[in-house]
Amino acid sequence: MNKINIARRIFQILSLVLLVYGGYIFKEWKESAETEQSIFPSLKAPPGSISTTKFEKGSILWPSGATPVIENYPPSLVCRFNPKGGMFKACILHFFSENLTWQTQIKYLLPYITLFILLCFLFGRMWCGWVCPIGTVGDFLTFLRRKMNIKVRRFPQNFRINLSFTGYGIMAIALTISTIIGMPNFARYQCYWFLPYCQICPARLICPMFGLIKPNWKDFSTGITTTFTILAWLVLGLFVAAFYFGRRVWCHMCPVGLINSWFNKGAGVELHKKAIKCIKCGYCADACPMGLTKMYQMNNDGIYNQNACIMCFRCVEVCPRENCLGVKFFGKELFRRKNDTKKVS
Amino acid sequence: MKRFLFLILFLFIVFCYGSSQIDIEFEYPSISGDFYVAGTVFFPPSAVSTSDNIIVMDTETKSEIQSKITVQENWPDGSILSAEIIFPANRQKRTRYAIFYGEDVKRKKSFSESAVLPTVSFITPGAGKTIEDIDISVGEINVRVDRSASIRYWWYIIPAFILIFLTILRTLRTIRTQKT
Repeated sequence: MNKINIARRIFQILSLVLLVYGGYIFKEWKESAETEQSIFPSLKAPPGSISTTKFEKGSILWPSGATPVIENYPPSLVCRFNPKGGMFKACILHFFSENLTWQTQIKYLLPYITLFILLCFLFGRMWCGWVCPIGTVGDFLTFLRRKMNIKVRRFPQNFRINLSFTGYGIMAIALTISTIIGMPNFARYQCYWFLPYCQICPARLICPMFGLIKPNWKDFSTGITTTFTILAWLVLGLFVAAFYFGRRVWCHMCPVGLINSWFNKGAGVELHKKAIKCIKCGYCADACPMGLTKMYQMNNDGIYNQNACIMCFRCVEVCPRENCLGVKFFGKELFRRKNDTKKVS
Repeated sequence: MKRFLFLILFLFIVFCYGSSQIDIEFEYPSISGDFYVAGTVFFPPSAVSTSDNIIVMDTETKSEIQSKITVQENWPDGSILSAEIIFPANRQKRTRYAIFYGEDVKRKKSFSESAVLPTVSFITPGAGKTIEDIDISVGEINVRVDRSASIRYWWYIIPAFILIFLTILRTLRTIRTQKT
């Protein structure tokens, strides 16, 4: 295993501990800290609207009452349903869904959106490859698959593109539902349709288990909750299968990852290739967990960032040619393949 | 002389058994549309025995106005001492109202406050003007007060747009280098 991969694994585990168990670790620190006026306005449900804090045991969106340490939304699948609230509040899709339903004035959302854009602008989809707790869980499933000597399945490019379209479709439906139930005439449907994506997101079922809390995995009280329950099972099954039989296939349709991907080509972190050094060995394409082949196909020097790239830098790591691939941060070189190697682990 | 005595007798009968009138004074509110007019009226002893002997009249059209009359106090003989009277009015249809009471008065129109409307207090001549405010019943009301100036949050739109602009610029550059 190479240094980059070791560093990434350590960073992933630390991020998982911080994001999921941050509620346990920093809760007392937060309570003892002096309350100062933050630059981030407190976003709360207006009277009459539903909020996750109103859900109790028995509801499909339980457990969700705990408040996070930092009420912010990093560009990663940070789940609202972490035990003790976790370190950060939720993912950006939760943020948009919630505030579309609450019809929060846009000026109160601007500080959050600006910070989100800044973090995406700096690191692009590094958040998916290095930080995302659900990605880490998925990588663990991939690790199990490798230990069990099950051969990885390679999905065709069209399949992965279709997955992205599915993700965009799910995101559009979720945001549309959130907007509609925010209208006064449809407010009575909020108890069933609030946070529609959270109701089917695998993170809602996985994250509570980190705190040894049994998630509410079924609710057959009404037709709508039954539908959401079955959809949540199907999506969880798809999630496990995607990571177990493939590598990061799920990340192609993750709505949060799709939002991050808009910033990937313009992000501060850049993947560079010197085409003259490339021997077309294809190691980079084989190693890419997202199944991207453009790095291999490129015949010219330049920045290789692609929308789907999660910046894991496996391609740089496995490249056998010195100075062929490298990583820069706003033009300043961070690291580059130093020595020629013939054998790659 | 007989005619004079007859006139005196006629006037006595009219005064004793005829209805009495109390003018109502109130200020029309600045709001448009319907509103309620409410107030408490005091009656002399033995003048009114039941609330049905009290009516509210539009003195310009000489028509009865529907009213809700609630007896509050009674004289020792059982006649009404005071009653609260509520009736609807409209700002666009300005007119003058009066309360008529007496044994020969029979109320035909009554109503209940089905709608929640602003209420204006009226006074009767001779009574001190004690209430000048308008009581508006609007039910439970939740007020969110924005303590911050809007600019505090709106200025974030500048760095957000700069970042988006830079992202687009850099994205175009990346696409261009990948094409060449």
